[in-house]
Amino acid sequence: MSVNPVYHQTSDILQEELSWIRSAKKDPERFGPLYKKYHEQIFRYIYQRMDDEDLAFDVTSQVFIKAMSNLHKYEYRGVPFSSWLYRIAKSELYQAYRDRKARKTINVESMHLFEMIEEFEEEDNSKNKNRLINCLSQLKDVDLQIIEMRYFEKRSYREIGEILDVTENNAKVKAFRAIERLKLLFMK
Amino acid sequence: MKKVKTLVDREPLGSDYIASKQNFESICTQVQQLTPTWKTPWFYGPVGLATLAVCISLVTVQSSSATEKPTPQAQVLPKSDVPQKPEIIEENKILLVENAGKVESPPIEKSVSTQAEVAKKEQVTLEKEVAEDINTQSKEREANIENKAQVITKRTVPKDNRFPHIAGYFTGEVPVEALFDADGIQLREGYTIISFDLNFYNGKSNVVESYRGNVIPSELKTIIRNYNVGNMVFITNIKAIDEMDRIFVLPAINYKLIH
Repeated sequence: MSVNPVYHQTSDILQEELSWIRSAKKDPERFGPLYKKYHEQIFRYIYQRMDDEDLAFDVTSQVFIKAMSNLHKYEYRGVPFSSWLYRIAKSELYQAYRDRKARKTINVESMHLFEMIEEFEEEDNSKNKNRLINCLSQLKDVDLQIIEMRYFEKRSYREIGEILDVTENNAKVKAFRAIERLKLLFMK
Repeated sequence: MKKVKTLVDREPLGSDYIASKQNFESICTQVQQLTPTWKTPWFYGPVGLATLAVCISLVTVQSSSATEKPTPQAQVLPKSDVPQKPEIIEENKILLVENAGKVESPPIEKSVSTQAEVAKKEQVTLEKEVAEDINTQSKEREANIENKAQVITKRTVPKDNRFPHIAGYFTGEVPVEALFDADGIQLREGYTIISFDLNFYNGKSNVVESYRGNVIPSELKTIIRNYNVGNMVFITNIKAIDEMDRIFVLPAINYKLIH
């Protein structure tokens, strides 16, 4: 399976990012480079789970406002700054579902669905595709979230672990169990 | 109705379009609006300066009032901290306090002068004054002693003595008459005893009485003689004041009374 390369960063890039964070802690105006770097990633993460584009931009702004307000609490743990932003984004997303009546949405590409059907060793036709979409909507939030990240957004287990605040191995186990549950639903 | 909406093959948004929606300035503005007033840098400018000014003025006022009238502070007098005053009375001569309530005025401290004549004159004057004092007080003392049934033997007190005493008795066995010595509790020159507590048996129970001055009241003589001879009497919480108006708490005196 191919993995999204955006997340993977060298130690030099991480150090540069850390220096931006330190200067942003002193002067919030210097948060600019971090905002430019991560705006698109965070927006896509949110838009992937929403059907309203404007609301997705709005929630993205809220994520950065929260991040800047709470930057003094941020502690570098050797992982990209985005993992912290993703956690804020997740929290803001759930708040938007509650307060702004935003609709929970799964955005999938047919190609990804067919890949999954193949993994289940079933025939990749439109009937099975609709069955799989139906099964996805029946999954629990936790399972759906991890399947989205792993199979639709192509994130690495390490990145998933950092976003969910679990270890890489734990993320692997969670993803395996989630796909097993989806397979069970699909095979019924 | 399904809780989750599923969108298949939604038109993806381009990176340029997403980038065009970036607005960092509006984010900064909103962050500033969210930041509480007391967290902003401009708040610390005037408010910090005002606080600093108030602190400085308070310290200044306190220090000036302290200079005008030094506040006495109670402190335990350690042996090594006793200031070494130049002695102007010869060894073996003891100044006597005329009465218990009277506070002895501190002797004049002589600083080393470069002018030999001035120093010599002052020394002569002081010697005369001291000699007169000693003569006067010796006469009074002799008169007192004559009236007493028992003669109190004054002990020689070293001039660098750091412990309180009565009639030269620091501890141990003490005659009752010595306890009621007219000079009361004494310390080295420059220190005046201002108060003390007396622990004794009054015939019913052990009591602790506080007294001002440095003399044990003669009213207690009968009680002390009747009930405390052969027993211990403790003089505690002895407070002395020095020439700088500093108050010291001195070590307690423990006596075993004898006839």
